[in-house]
Amino acid sequence: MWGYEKKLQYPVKIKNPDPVAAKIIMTQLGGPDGEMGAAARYLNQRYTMPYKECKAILTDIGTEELAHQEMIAAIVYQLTRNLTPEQIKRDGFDAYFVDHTTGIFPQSASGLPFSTAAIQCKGDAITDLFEDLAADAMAL
Amino acid sequence: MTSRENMLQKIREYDFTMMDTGLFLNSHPKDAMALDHFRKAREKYNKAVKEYESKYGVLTMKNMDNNLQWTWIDDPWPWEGADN
Repeated sequence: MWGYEKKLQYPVKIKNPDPVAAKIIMTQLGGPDGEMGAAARYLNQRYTMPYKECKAILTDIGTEELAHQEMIAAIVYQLTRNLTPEQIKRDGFDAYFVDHTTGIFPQSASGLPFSTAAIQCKGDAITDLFEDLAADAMAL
Repeated sequence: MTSRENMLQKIREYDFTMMDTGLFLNSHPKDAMALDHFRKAREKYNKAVKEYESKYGVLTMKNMDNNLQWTWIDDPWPWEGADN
């Protein structure tokens, strides 16, 4: 099971809104190699992992990805706080805004909603670990 | 940086040390230096959390011990970018 700690892993304090940056950074939350995908990979791959060292690592890094999700979402949230209608139109945030306002909807930078189609879970230790390496070559 | 932010930053540092050392220990469970590193960070973490929670409120719901009011819900929440 899990518990929540009322703190970010690293503080996020953004003064000025920037919806253009927000749309790009959103992909690190809900894009193909984002934190949600990483957490889904590790926390679901662990069940068929035969080695105790790997069960522990997948559990612990999967948990850490949840903390990363929170930081990325906090960044997007703060980048889109207090936007004026002019900023929303001028900075091209209107397409997102019409569907979600400033809600945090996990998607890629191109607008594809978060999808498990971008991750894999094959039940084979080596195959799954290689898949993790491929994803982590892009993820932070 | 306020004293609250200062204390929380220390907690984050000890927390991160424990987490990363823990990951190393997952694949090196008998490494004496890493075990000692983890233990030292945990001592600092526990002390810092106790001090922080007595002043600024709990970090986890399980540490709530206030019989008068459920302060767990109090703002600010971490993503709000306030002094936390």
